[in-house]
Amino acid sequence: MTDIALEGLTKRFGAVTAVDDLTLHVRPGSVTGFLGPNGAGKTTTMRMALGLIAPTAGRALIGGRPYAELPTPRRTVGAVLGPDGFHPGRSARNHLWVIALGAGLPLARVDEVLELVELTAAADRRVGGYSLGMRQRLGLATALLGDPAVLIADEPANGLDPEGIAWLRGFLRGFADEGRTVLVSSHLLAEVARTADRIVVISEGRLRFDGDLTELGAGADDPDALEAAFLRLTVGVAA
Amino acid sequence: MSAQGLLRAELLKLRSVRSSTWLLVAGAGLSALALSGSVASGAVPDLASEDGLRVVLQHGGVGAILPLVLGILMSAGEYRQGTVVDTFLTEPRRARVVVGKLVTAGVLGLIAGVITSVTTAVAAAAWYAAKDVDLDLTSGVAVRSLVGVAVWALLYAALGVAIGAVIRTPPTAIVAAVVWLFIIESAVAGLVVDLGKWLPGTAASALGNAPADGLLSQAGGGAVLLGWLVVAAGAAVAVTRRRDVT
Repeated sequence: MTDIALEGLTKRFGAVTAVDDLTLHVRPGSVTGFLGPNGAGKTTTMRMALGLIAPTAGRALIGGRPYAELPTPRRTVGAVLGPDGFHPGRSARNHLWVIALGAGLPLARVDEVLELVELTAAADRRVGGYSLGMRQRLGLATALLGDPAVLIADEPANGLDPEGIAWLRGFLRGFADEGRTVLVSSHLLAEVARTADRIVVISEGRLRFDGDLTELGAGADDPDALEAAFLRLTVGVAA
Repeated sequence: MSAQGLLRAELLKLRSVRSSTWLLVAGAGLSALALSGSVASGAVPDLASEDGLRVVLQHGGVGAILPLVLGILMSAGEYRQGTVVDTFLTEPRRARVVVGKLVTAGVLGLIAGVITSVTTAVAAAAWYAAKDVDLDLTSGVAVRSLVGVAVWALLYAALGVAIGAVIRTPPTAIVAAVVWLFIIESAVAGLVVDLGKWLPGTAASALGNAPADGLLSQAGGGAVLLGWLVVAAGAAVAVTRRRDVT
């Protein structure tokens, strides 16, 4: 059981405050939907949790430790950070092998995650020829390589076809039901509403809402009410 | 993460893309070409003399620019492709990533350097035979030149890693390195004569056993180039640790 704890997390880029004193506890065994409009600070928050961006203030702990101090980071946390982190000339299999070698993971695991995301047939093709959805699935395969206890996924549904999105939803549900921790971001409330046990909304770097859908004043089956609630929380808050 | 795993991962990164491996052997061809041009044009007045041989064999260092480029691509290429994210997620202690790349590049640079040395020796033997001049490649001066050329490639490859970690855009880093080595250094050396020999490219010529006046000794040149590498590697570690990967 590994949780994510953000404590007063703040990041300023020059004069811009991307994340502003964000405190959040992401619990195991559930899917936490991390919502906000583009530029709200979701990506920066997730990258701080993963040690890729240094906070200006506060800290982010995974299982009680900063990412950089995890003894086996790949076995503890999986991260999906978008479809762009691949060398176009490298095959998916080699991409995964590089990580397995570096992290000391069994190479047999590479075949397992390729199968899981249905990339086995394309595994030896160069990633430069992949569609957006295929790269997104390779990102998920990369995240799952270490069979981690925590999954941090930044807009993982981007570029997936409807079938892929449905599959992803089921996958995240099952992953959390095994007692693992899921933090998944989206800029579309409707997209995560059906999966998430808990909704966290941020806007302009600040926490705007933390609770379940009913507290948000909308049922998951009413997209108009959802949208209205989301906009109420995120639009014009600075004014 | 184990150091061994880190090195194996770095090697696979290189083996799994087409662009990088040819850089290792291309340097040898470049050196042989430069040597041939120099001998054929008669730029070396006295092939039979010791200085003449040193000038000829020193062309082996010309090819070291390609291990340098390989090193730059190993570091800066990761930022360009975005693979740096997965690299740091696998090994969040970033200093270890930089050191792993320095070691990997050094090993590959040495391999490239040995290939270049052998190619240089073969090219020299062919030209000396064609010009009907005696050549003893087992002489002390020949061996020193050829070893110097190999170490030159090793140090340049590692230097490339450090440069590419500081300047993260591959074309910018490559242009900066080339402009520095081929233009700025000679300008500085021309303006402030005593300073020139302490600069990295000029120290590398001394390491390559070039006979020019005003150079450091071969060992001195190697030591100064190593010093530059240590400074650059220190800077690379410092900026890599502090850098936000956005």
